[in-house]
Amino acid sequence: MEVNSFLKDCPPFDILSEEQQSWAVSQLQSVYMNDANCNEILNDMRPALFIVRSGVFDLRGVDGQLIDRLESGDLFGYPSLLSGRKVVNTLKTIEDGIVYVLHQSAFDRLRNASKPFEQYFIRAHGQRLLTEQKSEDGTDSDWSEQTVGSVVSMPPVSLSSDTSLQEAAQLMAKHGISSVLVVDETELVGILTDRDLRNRVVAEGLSLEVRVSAVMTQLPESVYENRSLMDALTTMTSSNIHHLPVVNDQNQPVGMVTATDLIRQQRSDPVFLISAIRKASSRAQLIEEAQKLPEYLQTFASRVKQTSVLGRLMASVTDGITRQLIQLYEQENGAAPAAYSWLAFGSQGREDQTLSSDQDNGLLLSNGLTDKQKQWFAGLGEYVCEGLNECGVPSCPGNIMASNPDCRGTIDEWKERFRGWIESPTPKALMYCQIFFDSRPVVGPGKFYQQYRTEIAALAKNEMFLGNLAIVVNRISVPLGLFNRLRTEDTDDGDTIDIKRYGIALINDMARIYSLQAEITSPSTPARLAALKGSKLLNRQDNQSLLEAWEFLTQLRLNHQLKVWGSDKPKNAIEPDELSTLARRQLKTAFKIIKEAQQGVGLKFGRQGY
Amino acid sequence: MSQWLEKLAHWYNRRQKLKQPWQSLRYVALDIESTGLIPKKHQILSIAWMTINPPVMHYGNAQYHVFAHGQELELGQSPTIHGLTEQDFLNSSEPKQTFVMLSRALNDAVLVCHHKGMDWRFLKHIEAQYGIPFKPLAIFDTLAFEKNKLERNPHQPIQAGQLTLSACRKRYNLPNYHAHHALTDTVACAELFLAQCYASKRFNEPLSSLLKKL
Repeated sequence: MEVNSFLKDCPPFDILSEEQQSWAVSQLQSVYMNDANCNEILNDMRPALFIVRSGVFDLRGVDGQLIDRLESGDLFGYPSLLSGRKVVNTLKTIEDGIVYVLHQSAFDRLRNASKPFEQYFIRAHGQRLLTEQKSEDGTDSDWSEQTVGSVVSMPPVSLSSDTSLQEAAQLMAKHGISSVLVVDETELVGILTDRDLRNRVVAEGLSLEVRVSAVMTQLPESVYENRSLMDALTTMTSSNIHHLPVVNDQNQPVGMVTATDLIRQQRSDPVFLISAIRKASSRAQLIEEAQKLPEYLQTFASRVKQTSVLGRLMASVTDGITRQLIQLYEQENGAAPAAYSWLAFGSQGREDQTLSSDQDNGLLLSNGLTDKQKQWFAGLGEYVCEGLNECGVPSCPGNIMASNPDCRGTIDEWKERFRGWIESPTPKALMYCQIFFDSRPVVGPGKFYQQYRTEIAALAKNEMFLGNLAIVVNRISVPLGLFNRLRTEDTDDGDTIDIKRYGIALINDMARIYSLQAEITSPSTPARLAALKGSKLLNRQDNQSLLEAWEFLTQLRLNHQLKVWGSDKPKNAIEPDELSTLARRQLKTAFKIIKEAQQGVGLKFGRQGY
Repeated sequence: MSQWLEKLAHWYNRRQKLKQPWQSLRYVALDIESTGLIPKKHQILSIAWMTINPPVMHYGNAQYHVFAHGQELELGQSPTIHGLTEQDFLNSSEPKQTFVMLSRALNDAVLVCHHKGMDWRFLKHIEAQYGIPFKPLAIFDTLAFEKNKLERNPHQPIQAGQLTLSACRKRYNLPNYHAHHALTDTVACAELFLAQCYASKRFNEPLSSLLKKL
C-alpha cells in the first residue's frame, strides 16, 4: 500500500524491519490538516508523533517564532513524546495536507523494539534544543554562554571618590561586602577593596579622613553586562583580580561579579584551558598549551548543546592568548608608554571564530607618541602576531595584523583610513570594511575604544556607502537552483557548497549593513540582530529567521570542521549528500531565508549605490 | 402499520442526522476492483474500505479483501491492472463474511466513493445475491462533487480526464499515489473527500447542504 512505501523512505522508519513497518502502518491514523483544524488536531492527539505526508506547515514556539517549516517527510511532536512535557508549540498551515499520526503507545513499542529508531529521535531532539527557549532557572543552559548580567544579583554599592576612607569602610561593613565601586556622575572611576584598605591604608598608617580617590584602584578592568561569563573569567584570570565591576553599554556600573560567583556557575571546565594559558610563564609554554585547543574543543563540543558557543569560546581563547603575549612582551620591554587598545577584527571581533580562522587585529594608539614610543608598539605588534601564529592562529594573508604599520594608528588616523574606504569604495575597500567594522577591544580601557567606535560609526552612516555594501551583498547568489534544489560545485572533494561564502558571510554582511545604518557598534552578528529588534528597517520575523539561519550554518560548519580536523579537506565546504534528510532540508531553508534577506537589503539600500 | 411507522422514524432520524455539521458524522470510504463494469457478468476481485471521523482516517481498521472465486474467475485484463498476483488470491477472504462486516460498517455511516455508479451497482447486486443489506445514511460521490464544482464555471468546459481520482487530487495539492489498488484508492478517495469538504468556506456546514452540491 502507498503508505508503506512512503514510510520505507522516511527516516527513521527506514531502519525498521518490514514487519515493524507494517505494524507501524496498522497503528497509524491519518488526518487532513488545514488552518481551521491543525491546532485542534495537535491538542486532541498529543502526545503523538506527527509525520507530514503532504502540505506545508509552520511550527511556531510559544512566542510565535518560527521553529521549523514542515514539509513532506518531516516529523514533529517527538520532543514531548521523549520528555513527557506538554506541547507548547503551535502550527500554522501554509498549504493543506495529509499528516500521519502515531500515538504514544505505538511509538513507545517501536522505540523499545529498535534502539536505532529511538536513537534517531534522541539525536533529533538534541538539534531541536537549539531552537528551544532556555529554561528560566538556567539549569539547562551552558554556563559559558550565560551573560554576566544574569549572575549579578545585587544592585551595585557605590560611593563617590571624595568620600572619606572611614565612611567607605563603614559602608562596606554595613553591606557586608569586600569591595565597593567608586562612581562619579554615574561613571565608574575606580574600585576600593578590603585589600586596598589593608595594604594602602592600615599598613601605611594613613589618616581615615583621606579621600577614597587617593587609595582606590583607578580605571579598573570591567566587563560589559552582555558579555559571557567566559569573558568575565578571562578578564579576571588575565588581570589576576577577584572582583570585576560590571558595566552597561554607557559604561555605567550595574554591579560586581566575583570569582566566587563564577565558580558557583561553573559546570564545565573551559576554565582549565583559560587558566593554563594565563599561567604560562613563557612563550614556549603558552604555545604548548594553545596547541591542545583543537583536541580540547572536540571533547568540549560534545558536551555543549549549542556549538555556536564554541565560536565565542575560541574568540575568548584567542583573547586570552593575546593578553598573555602582551604581558610577556611587557615583561621583556617594560610597560606600555601610553594608553592603547588592542583591537580584534573580523571573526575574532565578531566572536564567530573557527578552527581555521586567521588573525585580524590592530592597535589603537594615543595621540602624540614619540618615535621611540611608536617603536614600542611596533615591537608589540610583531611579537604578539608572531606568537599568535605559533599558537595556531594563522597569520592573515591580507596582512590585517598589528604588525603591519597600516593597522596601528590613533583615532584620527583610523578615521582617515575609514573615510578613504567610505568615499572611494573600491572592491578592496569594501572588503576591508567587511573586516574592520567588526571590531572589539581585547586589551585597553573601554572608554577609549568606545570613543573610537562611535566616531567610526558616525562616518559609516552614509547612504551611498551603504548602497555599495548592499550591492556587494547582492552580487553573490545563494546556491539554490531550479525548484529550490541545492546547487553544488564540482570540486576534487566532491559536490560541495561553501557555506561560509554563500551563507554565514552573507548574513554577517547583511547584519553589518543594518547595524551601520542604525549606528549599532556591537560586532557579533547575534548581538547586532538582537540590537536591531524593533528596528523599522528589519522586521522581527525576518530578524529571527536570519538569526536562526546563522545559528544553523555556524553549527553546521563547526560540526564539519571538527569532523575533518587534521585532514586536508576544505574547512568551509560541505557535501549536501553527506547530510541527513533533515539537515539538507534545513540548509535549503537557510538559503531561502538568505535569498529573501538579500532582496530586502537590495531594496532598502541598493538604490543609493553605483 | 408498525412497519410504516418504523420507516417514518428511520426517515426522520436520517434527516436529522444529515442536518448536523458534516464533521460530526462517520464516513466509510470504499473502493471495489472488478473484472468489469457489469455486476451480473463480472466479479469483484478486491474490496477495501476505511472509516473516517473527520479529520481522522483510521488506517488501523482499514479493510482490504481479495476474493479468489474458486475456479470460475474470469481473469481477462484486469488482474494485471489491479496489481493482484496469485499470492494475493491465496490469501483470499470468504465473500459473505466480508460483506457482513461491510454492512455493519456502513450502518449509520455515510458511504464515500469516487464515481458511485459502479460501486453502488455492485453493492446492490450483493445485497440481492446474499441478502445482506447495505444501508448507509447517504452517499457522497467525490466525482460528482468535483463535476458539479467544475460545471459552475461556464467558460471552461470539462475536459476528458479531468475527473479521474488522481486529476481531482492534484487540484487539491494531494500527493500523487500509484492508483489501481483498492486500498490505496480508498485512502486516496478518503483524502479527496476531506479536502473537498474542508474547502467549503462555510463553518460547520450541514452534510445535507454539501450533498446538494453533488
